[in-house]
Amino acid sequence: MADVEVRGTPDADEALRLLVDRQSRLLITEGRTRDGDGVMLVTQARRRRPALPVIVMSGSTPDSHAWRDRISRMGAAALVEKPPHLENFVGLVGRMLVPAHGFSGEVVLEGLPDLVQMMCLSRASGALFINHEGEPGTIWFDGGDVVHAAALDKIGVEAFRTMLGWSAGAFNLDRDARSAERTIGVPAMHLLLECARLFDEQRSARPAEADVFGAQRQEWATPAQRAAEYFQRGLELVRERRHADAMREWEEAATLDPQNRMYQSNLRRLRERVRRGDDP
Amino acid sequence: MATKSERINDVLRGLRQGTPEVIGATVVSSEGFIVASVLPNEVDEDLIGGMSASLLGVGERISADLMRSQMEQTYVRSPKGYIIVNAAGPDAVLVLLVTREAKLGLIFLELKRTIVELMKYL
Repeated sequence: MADVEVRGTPDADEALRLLVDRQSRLLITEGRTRDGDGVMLVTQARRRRPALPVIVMSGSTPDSHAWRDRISRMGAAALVEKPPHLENFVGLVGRMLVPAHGFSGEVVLEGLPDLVQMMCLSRASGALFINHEGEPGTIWFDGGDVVHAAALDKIGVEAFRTMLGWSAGAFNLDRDARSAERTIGVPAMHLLLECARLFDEQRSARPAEADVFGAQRQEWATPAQRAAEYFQRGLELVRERRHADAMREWEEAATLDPQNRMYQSNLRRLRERVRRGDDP
Repeated sequence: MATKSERINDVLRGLRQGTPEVIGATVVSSEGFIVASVLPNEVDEDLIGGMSASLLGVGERISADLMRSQMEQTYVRSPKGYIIVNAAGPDAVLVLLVTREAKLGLIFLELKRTIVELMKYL
């Protein structure tokens, strides 16, 4: 790494000043300092340069797991225990500085679902560090599946939903990061569909369903999905000319998904038919 | 597990995304109820359902009484565009709202492909 210039700074303020020139490609910092500068530096650095990879050096302590989790959530790309294995450390720095393959750059996407979809479809692994107005969040992928998410004080599906609700922010992807935790066991395709649904709703300014992702506790049947099932049963009953029974099914569908114009329209017209006495 | 209606909606969404001239698409059952639809907000679903059922009835009657055959397709042209009603199996029709600038040959081609897809779920 002859072409790399390493610049040391006595404190966090000086490091942040160096980051402003945007020439720095990697930040390596001591994580646990007496005055807490290390943690502050990671937070501030991620805020100013969201795409800048950060390596945090740390000594092993009894509470290191919780601390590691905290640092990861702040957006550190890697946490290295001291004393580092020299060759491994040099390799890590090399990977952070120069992508081994592929392209790198900056891209502005309309929403996080696009990014999640890209990760899932490309069967990618790694951690997606997101920063939304200073609030950090991370989504971990394994072979295209979303396996873990953490944002603010939330984890799992709840954190994932929170991050999808963010309208803007910055992201950084570390393809080498792996999560030891597995808090999301839902198939990636299911999460993708829910992403698309949420994104559609956001774009058409329709209110999002009350608890799309929280429905994991209810065997992943969202109100909209349950409404669709009621609607389908109603269609079959209409075909059998059991209009009164069909009406009950469609009333359930319309109650569960009141924004759906198709349910409301069909229900109105079916009611009219029943009122006119078309039901045999 | 997606219901039939949701799968049909996916097919219609794909048609509309791939063919910008199609501004709306809906599948209407032979009873006149909407099975699935991707319509612009300004289009009245009640009206589409009712009108499609009427068009379907008239088309079927004309085909049966005058041509002794089954209706395949009916379309209405106006200065603002087309409404195309095409049979989708024995129990449903596919209704497309299409802009006036559309090339009908291409639209009919897409329509045929879409109906093959829809028949998996109807």
